Amino acid sequence: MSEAHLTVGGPSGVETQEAPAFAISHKKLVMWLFIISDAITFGALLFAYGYLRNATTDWPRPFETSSVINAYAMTFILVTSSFTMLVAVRAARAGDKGRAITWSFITVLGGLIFALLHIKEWLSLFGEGLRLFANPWGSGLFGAAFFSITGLHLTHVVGGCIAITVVTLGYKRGRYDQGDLEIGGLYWHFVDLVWMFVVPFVYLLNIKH
Amino acid sequence: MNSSGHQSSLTMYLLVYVAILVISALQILIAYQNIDAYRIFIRMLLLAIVQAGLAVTFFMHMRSEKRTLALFLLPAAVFVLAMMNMFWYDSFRLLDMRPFAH
Amino acid sequence: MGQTVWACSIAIFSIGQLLGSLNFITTTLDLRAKGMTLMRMPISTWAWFITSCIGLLAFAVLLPACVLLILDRVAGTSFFVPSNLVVSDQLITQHSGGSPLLWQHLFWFFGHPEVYIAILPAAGIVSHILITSYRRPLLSHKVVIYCMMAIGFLSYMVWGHHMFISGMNPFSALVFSFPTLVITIPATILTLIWIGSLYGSNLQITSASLFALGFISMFVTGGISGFFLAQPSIDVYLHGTYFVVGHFHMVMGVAAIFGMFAGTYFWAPKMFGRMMNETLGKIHFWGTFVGTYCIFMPFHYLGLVGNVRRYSAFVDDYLAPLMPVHKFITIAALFTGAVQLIFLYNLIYSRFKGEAAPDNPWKATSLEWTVTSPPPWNNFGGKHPVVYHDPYQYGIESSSGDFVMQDSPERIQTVRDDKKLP
Repeated sequence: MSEAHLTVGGPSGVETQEAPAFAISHKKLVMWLFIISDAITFGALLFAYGYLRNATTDWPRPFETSSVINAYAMTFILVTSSFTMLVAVRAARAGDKGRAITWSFITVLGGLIFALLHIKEWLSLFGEGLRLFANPWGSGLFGAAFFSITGLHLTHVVGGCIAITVVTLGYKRGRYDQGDLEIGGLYWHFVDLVWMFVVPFVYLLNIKH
Repeated sequence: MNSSGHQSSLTMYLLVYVAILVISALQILIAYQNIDAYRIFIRMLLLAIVQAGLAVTFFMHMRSEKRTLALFLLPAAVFVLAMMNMFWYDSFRLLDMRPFAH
Repeated sequence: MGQTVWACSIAIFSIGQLLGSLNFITTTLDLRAKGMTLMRMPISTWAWFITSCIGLLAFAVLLPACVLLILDRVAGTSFFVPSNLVVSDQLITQHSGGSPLLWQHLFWFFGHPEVYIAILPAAGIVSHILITSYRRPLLSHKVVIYCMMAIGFLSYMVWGHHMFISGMNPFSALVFSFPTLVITIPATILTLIWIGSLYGSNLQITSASLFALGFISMFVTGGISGFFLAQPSIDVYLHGTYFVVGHFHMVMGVAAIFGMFAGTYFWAPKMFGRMMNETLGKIHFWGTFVGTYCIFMPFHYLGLVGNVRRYSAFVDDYLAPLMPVHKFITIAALFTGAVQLIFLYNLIYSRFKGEAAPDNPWKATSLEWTVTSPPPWNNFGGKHPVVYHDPYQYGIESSSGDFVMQDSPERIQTVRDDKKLP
């Protein structure tokens, strides 16, 4: 931290450094790079799922209409929380600290509701007999793929909730600035983006006809 | 740090937000259509890419960053994910060979 | 159990590599001294940058693969375990339906870029050291950088050449073979630039430059056997044999280690403020160089006569006449291992008792040589260096001799152009 400050500001206000390559803060660039890497992680998982689904003859299609409605409700909550995050970042940019904090916490609340809906969904599937590697409908791989993909996404959501809470509290105390809040938002939108691929491929391709 | 001088308006965000939700609803409609899985998959994929594009461009402010950032990051991810399509040859082949596996 | 721990450690390693890559890329892009444009960065830094970019994308695939593998082993799923698998004469019943090919795909999708993650930093170090020892710039250091980028790009297209005999679709084998052969083009250009620049140069023989030249030798030897292995028709015969072991150890294993040795001899004075012993260093080089060839050249012959790999013991059959070769390899390996003790001794001894290193013992130009050895706290002691030109200003006439430091505002005479063609 101190080293960064030493090198960033020259003694007499002279530029001592080349300008950052993309004209964004270091932290934001790190977050972007992380997002790219994480996108490939999710991509690889989805490819693995698709591979196994193609190669399996008795792939089950168990999702009832209630599951689909639940999935859409989850999408709605997550995209809405993305939107509230945008409002928070906007308020922070405009200097309205109180509003930014409120909207950030609404975002976290959205994330928590999403996680609750997700767990409710898991529990109801569990009640129908779905296990990690067994289910009454067909290939056990379905449960394995379903739980690993949605599980990884749920981990990201919970992690995002914690991260945004920490950043917002830090922002409240003045430890973080609005740029950091924006970076938290960047991650949150990415979690949202991944969900946009999880819903059609994991849920909608496996509905009961 | 304050690279994006011009802010996207709230109306713009709202429009994108509604568009993403509408596309999600469209995907559900497609899922219940009586066509084969491959076509459903392709339509889902295209719609999901549109959604992701909207999210990256507007929600993640890629629009107001320098163009080089997008040129540095996005082709890398797209390229790597595109290369993974080589997996499919084997997944379909596995299905064809299945009778012999038993 | 052991393999579960292995998979966990690999998963943690992926995360570590990911965070390291984030740090490297961001630092390279955002924390450059004034005047240090991207094209003025030393090739070694460029190599690290490109390596980090490859690592960022490649390890992202290994991480989920390892998580799925751990689930297979711990939680009873079956992503990678096929139906009706028999292990040690027992039918596996609790797993079914998975695909080992999927594991191979996911692993090698990471695995091939990983090969370049291992070799590119060494290539960067070697380019940097060679320029300093040649006392002249490379024919084109920009082309070296572009070649490394091309290798990084192509590394994502070729992973299937590890899987020619895995039962993969033969059509994919054809598709993977082509970019594998194409990737030899940038690699060959790199080699030609290194060797071409040697011609007519004023080569300084030091331990570092010897190891750098040794790197080229290993890279070429291993690379040439790569041409054979890139073609599915030949690879089907050679893939399960020692030929692959020889190829891989030459081009990736030993070559990368030679790069590390070269870098150690080159930068140890800067790191510890003490010179390493040159005589011991040269003995170490010749021992390692000769020893390595004695180990890995016979591997190629063993492979060509059909000695299978991954076997711990051979029954007394058609491979029996090859036993003397195996014995020779074992002796050579023990010898080469013993030679490394010289290096270890040299490193530890000179760390404490070596002669004090001057600030710039190799008359190099890049920024680390402008500060004291070892460097002060905060690398530049609170001062901010300003860079005026690229780090490859050798073979010219200037106030400091035949080179100009990167942070020296001295104008460069263009004598260099005349010296380019000796």
